[in-house]
Amino acid sequence: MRRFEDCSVSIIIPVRDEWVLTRECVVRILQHTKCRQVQIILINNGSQENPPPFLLKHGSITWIHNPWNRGFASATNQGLRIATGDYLVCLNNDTRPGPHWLAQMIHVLQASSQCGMVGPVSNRVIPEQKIPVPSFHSKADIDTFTKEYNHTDSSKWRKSIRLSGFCLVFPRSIYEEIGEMDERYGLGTYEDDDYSYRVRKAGYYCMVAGDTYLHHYGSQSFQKRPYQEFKKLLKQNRAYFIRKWGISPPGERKGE
Amino acid sequence: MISSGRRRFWIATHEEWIRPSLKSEFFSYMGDIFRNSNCKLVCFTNKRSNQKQNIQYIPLAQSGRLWKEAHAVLTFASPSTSMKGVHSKSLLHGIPVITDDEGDHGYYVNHLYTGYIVDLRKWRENLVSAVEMMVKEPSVWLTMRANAKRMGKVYWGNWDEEV
Repeated sequence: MRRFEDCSVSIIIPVRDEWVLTRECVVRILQHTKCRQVQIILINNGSQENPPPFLLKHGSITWIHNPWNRGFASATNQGLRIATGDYLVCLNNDTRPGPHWLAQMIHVLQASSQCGMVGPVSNRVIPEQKIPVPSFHSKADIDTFTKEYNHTDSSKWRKSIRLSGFCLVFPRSIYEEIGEMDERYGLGTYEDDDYSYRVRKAGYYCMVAGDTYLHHYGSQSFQKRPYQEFKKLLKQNRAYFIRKWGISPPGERKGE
Repeated sequence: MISSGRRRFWIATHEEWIRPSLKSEFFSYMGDIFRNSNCKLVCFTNKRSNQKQNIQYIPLAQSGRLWKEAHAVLTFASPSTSMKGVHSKSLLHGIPVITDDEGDHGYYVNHLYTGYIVDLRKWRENLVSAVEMMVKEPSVWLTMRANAKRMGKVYWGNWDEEV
């Protein structure tokens, strides 16, 4: 098994404004990702505000600037195309990575060649990956919880029918075999169900790294429009999934 | 009433793209919401209709103008009418589409991405939301336009393999 310190990773983060959160996410990645090479790819997806100089000038960041919002799958694909890492991470900008976050997830992938994709547990995520967390009153609280939680424990790993797109980790070989995310999900939603399904259809497992907590603030990007509009997006993309695969999105529960 | 200020905004439709059961109510409503604005509904038809302010009827012989001049295309056809050709052509021309979600109407248009999907049960409110979004937030319209063109190019003639 290759040591995490010897791996190279590419972390792909589509961003649309929310630069404060993005900066926090990037700083935490740099702080807690100790491997041979960390390539952070920020896809500025038609932001109205300019990115802060700290991010613009940072040597570890590769930038893609889109003049308009190309949607989540399309922006992620742009990042995947230029990613050079052995392991690829699709990450939301509203997350707060902590100690061992990526080393532990890559450990899950390395433990079995049949494991195609892995995701962490979190506070705001689909039920398969959700864990109860205490009330956090500060970032220090989040960090304390994350630090205490993130200890390698393979008994907490479990197979899952799907993984949430807020953090997906897979080896380059999986990307080469499965391909890009489907851009017909437009602005976003259900492209992660689609990718999970494709990974499993190709004969691999999707795994939840139950020993790895990644805090998720929960995106604001869809909440700028009335909820009715978001519901339409969900309805349309769910219908597309069903047309495409001939089944309901696996794992979905009543009321989702 | 929707106002586009100084910005001219054309929404194009066609006599066959609006279901008969909705036609008269639809044109009357569009005339009302566009009154005293720079928005205009342009309908390509050979039928003679009463002219209303902000609704223009153009003979079908000139329908080529639609793809050159429209800012958005609007279709509320019967569920049994496939809009595949119209919608994909519209996307290819970079024209966002406002349509309903019946039949295949919502297959080629992504809500808030390459157009706007109207819930027919609330078509009046939804139409206002769609047009207001495109008119009052030019960046939204430009984004839809850019995505429409890109998706049209990527998937033109290729939709069936994917859907």
